Amino acid sequence: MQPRTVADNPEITIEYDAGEDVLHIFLEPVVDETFFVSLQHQPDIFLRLRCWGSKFVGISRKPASPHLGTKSPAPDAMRQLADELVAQYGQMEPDEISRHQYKAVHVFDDDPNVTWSYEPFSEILYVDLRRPIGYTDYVTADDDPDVIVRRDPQENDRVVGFMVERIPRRFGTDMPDDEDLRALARELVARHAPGA
Amino acid sequence: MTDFWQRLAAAPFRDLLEFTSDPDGCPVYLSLQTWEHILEDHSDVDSYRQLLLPAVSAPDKVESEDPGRNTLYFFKRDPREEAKAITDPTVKCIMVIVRYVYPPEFRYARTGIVRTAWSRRGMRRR
Repeated sequence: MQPRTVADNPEITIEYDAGEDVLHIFLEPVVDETFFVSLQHQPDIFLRLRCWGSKFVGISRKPASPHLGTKSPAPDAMRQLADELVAQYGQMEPDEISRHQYKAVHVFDDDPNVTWSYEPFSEILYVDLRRPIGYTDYVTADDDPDVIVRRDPQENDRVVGFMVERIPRRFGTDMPDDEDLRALARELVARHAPGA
Repeated sequence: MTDFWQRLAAAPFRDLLEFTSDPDGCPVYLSLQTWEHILEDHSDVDSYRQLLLPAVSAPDKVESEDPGRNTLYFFKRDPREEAKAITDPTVKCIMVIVRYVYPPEFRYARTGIVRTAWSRRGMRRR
């Protein structure tokens, strides 16, 4: 088996981004465009996948400073944290990663029919007020061109969901925080479907 | 040539298959995994399946999101609405979103990947 520690594998490199407080671990050299998938129950862990073919090429932790003890970490502390992350997540299989990549559904409050999910490759936040969402019309919101309100024409144009495009641009990061996504979803429901 | 949809159905789940070329001649790819998720999120697209390929290869309209044109929105009018002009804000169309990447496998040549698609009224990004 390929060694999976920073010290054992010269292909693995680490980098700390103090601006975003992210520790990036590159499992191999990144040579083209990538995107990040957050783990459903560990939202501070992100897997970096190549856009072409979704190959798993890196792990990132955001925020990293609570685990490093400082925003100016020493190389040893970064290596230790990187080793822990590589040991824990470095062997994830494509099937397992796919479950986080697409429609990792988060339930709102206690209603299992009201859910939100973020698809990082398409950069779209989906908020579904019923499951499955089924056939809908799509209407751009008057007050926000990135928000699309989904209405059911068979149910008197009742609002049954939302999509929000260009999430990285909205939040200024391609690693959006789950709590920010949840708050945005909640805000949309309150504004466009208060009875949902 | 085997129909693209037959080849897609038989392909490994995550493999990207060449779908068509855009009007600039760039190849555009789609995986079964993405297609299944398009259908899950946007069941309306299933009835436009045969329009998806011409939407990218011979669109009625293309909009870009960024100066580098790394995300393009391709629009194709529903053939049942040919009486309506493509500028009509009520015209029913399919919109296909394609992201462009530059993979080393293709010597860093511009290559499209279908991100998602849905139907809408009006050929406009917003």
